[in-house]
Amino acid sequence: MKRNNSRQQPVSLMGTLLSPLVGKGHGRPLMLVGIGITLFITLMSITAPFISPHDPTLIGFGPPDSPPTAQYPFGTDQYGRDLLSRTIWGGRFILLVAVTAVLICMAVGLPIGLVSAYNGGNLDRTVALVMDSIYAFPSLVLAIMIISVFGVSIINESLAIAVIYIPTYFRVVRSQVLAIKEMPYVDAAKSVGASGPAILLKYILPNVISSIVVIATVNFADSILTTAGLDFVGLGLSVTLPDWGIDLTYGRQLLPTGAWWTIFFSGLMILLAALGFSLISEGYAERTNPKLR
Amino acid sequence: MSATSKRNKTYIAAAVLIVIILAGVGYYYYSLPSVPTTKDTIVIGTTDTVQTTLDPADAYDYFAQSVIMTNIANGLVEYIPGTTQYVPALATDWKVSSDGLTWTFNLRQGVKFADGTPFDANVVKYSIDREFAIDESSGPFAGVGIDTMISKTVVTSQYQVQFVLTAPFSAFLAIVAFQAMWPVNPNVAPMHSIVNYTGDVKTEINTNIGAYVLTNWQRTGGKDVELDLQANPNYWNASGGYPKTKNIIFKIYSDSTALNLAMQSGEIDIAYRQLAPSDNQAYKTNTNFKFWEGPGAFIQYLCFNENSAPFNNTAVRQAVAAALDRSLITNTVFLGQVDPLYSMIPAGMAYHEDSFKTYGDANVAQATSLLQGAGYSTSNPLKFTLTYPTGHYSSTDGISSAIKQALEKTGIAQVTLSSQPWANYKASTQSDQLQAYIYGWYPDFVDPYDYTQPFLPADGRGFLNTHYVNPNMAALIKQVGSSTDTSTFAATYASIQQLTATDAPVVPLFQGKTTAVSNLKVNGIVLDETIWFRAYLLWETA
Amino acid sequence: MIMILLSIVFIIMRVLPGNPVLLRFEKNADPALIASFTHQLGLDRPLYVQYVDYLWGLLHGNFGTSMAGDFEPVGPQILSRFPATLELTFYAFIVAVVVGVFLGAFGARKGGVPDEGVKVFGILIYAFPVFFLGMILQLVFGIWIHLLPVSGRLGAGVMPTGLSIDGVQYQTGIYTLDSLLSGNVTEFIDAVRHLILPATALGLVISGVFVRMTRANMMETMRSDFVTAARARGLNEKTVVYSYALRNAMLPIVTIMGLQFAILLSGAILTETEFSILGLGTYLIDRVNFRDYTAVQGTVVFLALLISSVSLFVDILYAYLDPRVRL
Repeated sequence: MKRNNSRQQPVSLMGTLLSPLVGKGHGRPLMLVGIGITLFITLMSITAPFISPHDPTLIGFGPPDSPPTAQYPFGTDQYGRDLLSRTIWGGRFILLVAVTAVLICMAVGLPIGLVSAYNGGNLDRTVALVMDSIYAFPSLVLAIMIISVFGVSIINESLAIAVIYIPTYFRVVRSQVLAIKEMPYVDAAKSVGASGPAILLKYILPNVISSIVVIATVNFADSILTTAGLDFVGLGLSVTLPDWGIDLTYGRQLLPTGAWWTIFFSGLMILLAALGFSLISEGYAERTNPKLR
Repeated sequence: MSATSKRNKTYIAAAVLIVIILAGVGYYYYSLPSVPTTKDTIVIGTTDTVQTTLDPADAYDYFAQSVIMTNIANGLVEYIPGTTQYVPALATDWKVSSDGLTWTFNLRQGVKFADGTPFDANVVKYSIDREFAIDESSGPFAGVGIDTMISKTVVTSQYQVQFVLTAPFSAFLAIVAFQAMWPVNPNVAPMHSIVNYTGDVKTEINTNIGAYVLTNWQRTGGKDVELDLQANPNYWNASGGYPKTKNIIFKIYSDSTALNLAMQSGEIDIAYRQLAPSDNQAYKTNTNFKFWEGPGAFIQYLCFNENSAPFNNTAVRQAVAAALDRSLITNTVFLGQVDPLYSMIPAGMAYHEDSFKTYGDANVAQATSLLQGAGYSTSNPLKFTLTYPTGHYSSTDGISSAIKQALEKTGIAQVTLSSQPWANYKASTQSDQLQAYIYGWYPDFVDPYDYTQPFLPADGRGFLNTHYVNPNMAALIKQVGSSTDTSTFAATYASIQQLTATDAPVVPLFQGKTTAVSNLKVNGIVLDETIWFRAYLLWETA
Repeated sequence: MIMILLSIVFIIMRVLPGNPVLLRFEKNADPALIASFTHQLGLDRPLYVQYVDYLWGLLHGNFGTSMAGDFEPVGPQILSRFPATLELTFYAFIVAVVVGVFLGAFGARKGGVPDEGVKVFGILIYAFPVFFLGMILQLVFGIWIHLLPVSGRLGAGVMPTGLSIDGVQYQTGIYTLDSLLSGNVTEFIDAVRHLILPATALGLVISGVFVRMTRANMMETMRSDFVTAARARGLNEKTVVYSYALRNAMLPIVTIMGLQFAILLSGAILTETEFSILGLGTYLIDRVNFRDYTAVQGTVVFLALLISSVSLFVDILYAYLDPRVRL
């Protein structure tokens, strides 16, 4: 397997990013399984309008609270809505929030981390202090607060999750930058007159990329779980739209009668979605960080 | 065999022995009977909690007033269980002067509070004066407007008291029956401050004159855990055999699932408020439990903001009223546990009539023609947002889905659903941000007036902020409010309800039934329009 | 850290669209009433005045009074709810560490397929939504098999007791502790039975981190010099693993304990909601729904204080355990 000893010399961006995907060795099965699960869920969510057998929002469609049958393979919920359709449709919101949150994190966390760490000084220390405060605090509490204030919408949920996660990006990027900053080749570049941004982009960023991939995939997984958690405490989006978190929360009502299908499928999908990204993250990390084998 | 492995074997043996002992002990305690539920204790589970306190001058939520205070306190008059008929309680008889301004009550003699303080007219005057002195802006006294109703309280003799009103009010007896007017013990209730929860039962209740005495109140961080009631030896009706059961325990659960589980596992004898519709449905057919049902006083209705389009147009509001399919709500969302409602005054209450039946249900034809008359068509459909609150009423998501589905059957309406948490929802209502929205109502006092005026204030504002202003309506409401000649009421209330249907500022959706679940041994649950929960009527066979 | 969080919370909560004043008026909305009430709560003062006022109160240990309900002081409310959360997180933590460390060590020792299995388990369990796991446990052990209670902390009629001194009862609010102190065995068993499912749900999910960490550290430690030396001296493999390697692998675990506590708290909110436990998590959610600024602020400040203390404690513990660090 190609090993990039990235501490010694500059490497190419794409090379670092894609090399763990090929070749044999540890972590690859994990990563591939994760990619498989993720692709499956993404495709299902995208093609939902075409593959869903029924309208997921129609109440009174089938008999309420009925267990899985041939007609309703996943059963029905308390309003008689078909759970199979709701499960197929249910990931869209969660995935959309996750994607938006990750994009915001990268767009904000990366530059802040890079610039702050590279410039150093008191500003860097202050920013690091603020970031550490947020990082050390229970994430769900912050998310609850932000959502309860600004209201529930896709962008607000993404923002709330982004706020929680940006410190992680910041920390990782910062520690990498601090290490690389003093490397000889960086000095060499500086002495030839290369500007700060150029150095950042050409030398530092590629080395940071593989960590970013790991963090981003964990971010995805976390975002999915946090969105579901917000649904559970009553801060989810409009409750009539199909959504795994909402279905799980409302399906709970049927638990005392021993009904399992109202919670099982939505919960399973949340688990799979989070699992898929986690597997990618673990696999990728294993392949790029020799210590983890 | 080496020394190490011998030692290891000893460790393992010891561990196994300890586990067996622990399991045995655990099983022993597990198999002990849980709470001894003999005939003299009934455990009632609920998801409600006292919002603030149990002080009549402050308590303004259902649980505090209609469940707890009903059992530990008493008013001058009360209702015959199962009806809305008045009957003496702490007062024996009463009369009103011909000008409708002076109400005189003769009080029952020889009644004492649980600590021995005697009850008489001075106590009544003290209690009402105290309500004025405290007059909490968010309390029931100001909330129902009693502070503007009563001009003064006069002690005419030791056992006779008079209320002088500022203007005649026909439903005043209902006000007297309302918990805010119930007497407090002057020795425990300071004139100018509310009696709060303190953790010490002796100092946090000021009304121990009812069938029970509160002996234990466990509360943490604003939510109740348990309330224990014990029979009051000084209860004036003890000779009548009340309360029927010596001890009552109210155990509070966080949500319907927990309550349901407690009921199923036998941890509680009665489950009252709030089980989910599907839970109730299951209990209806479960022969191991009794399912109790009674008329409810809770109603839910659709409101329109007439300040702006499209609902400033009466025809549009009428179209919505016509297109509504109440059966979708009552049968699909609530599984038959609520009744469709065709007037803001609920069935079972005086003067109720089904005025909204003129539209019929799911009258797609009428709705479509009304909308087309207003200029809407398939290329220009009626578009609006239906907002519903979460976290306050149950199943609002289902209700709004039902409304949306029914309306969209016309083919020329597009409804967007939006939800807001209850806190934001109330604020949005006041700031004109909503177009169509859902609200519910529990009565403050049991009288049709309380189902009319609050929704149709003369200036169109109030808590619903519908901006509906109609001088005819205002005149009609004023008439039933101030007159004491009830012979005219039938006609006036009929006009009010018909006008409500014609103008459709609000559209009634359903009337909730009051339900409870109990085990097979419980008797005496009475569920009526007053929705008072009278624990003193309960008894359980051994 | 505390200041930053407090300021953030303060500013955020004041930006709210919903407000606690309107909530008190279930039905009526007379503007004069609203105005007088707003004034009573001090909400009509300029922001910075409210901020300074609050800080001043904090320094004196006063968390302010709740804006909802009946103006109960927030501090005592938080303190009355906190023990439940503390108890839950404590037992969950024990479950997490025991399961995590045991599995991690097992995997590291065996290698091969069981090791991969342990690794996958660690990832899988951490990706589990904790309330979903809670529901499954409730369903299986509470409903299908009537073995354990599924909600609350005590059964009906079981009163919490405390240590009795001179006839006065002192309660910490931690039922497992109080019942032991007062000798009430029924209460103890009842409290433990109510804790089993929630602590297991939360603990299992968190154990994922400990599994992976222990495994990684163990593998590294087992390759290190001193372990080789121990083996060379002829020490039996089990001793090598459990007495030497494990102890060293535990050190990094201690460092992440502080961080795990924050994650535990987040999970505790969901677990408390699922199992209807009246702890700080459910308190926070209630208060947020009521737009009770002071209560939410108070909770955040309290949590910040708590986490800072835990971090400090962990730092001290680490210094004590690591022979290389001498203060």
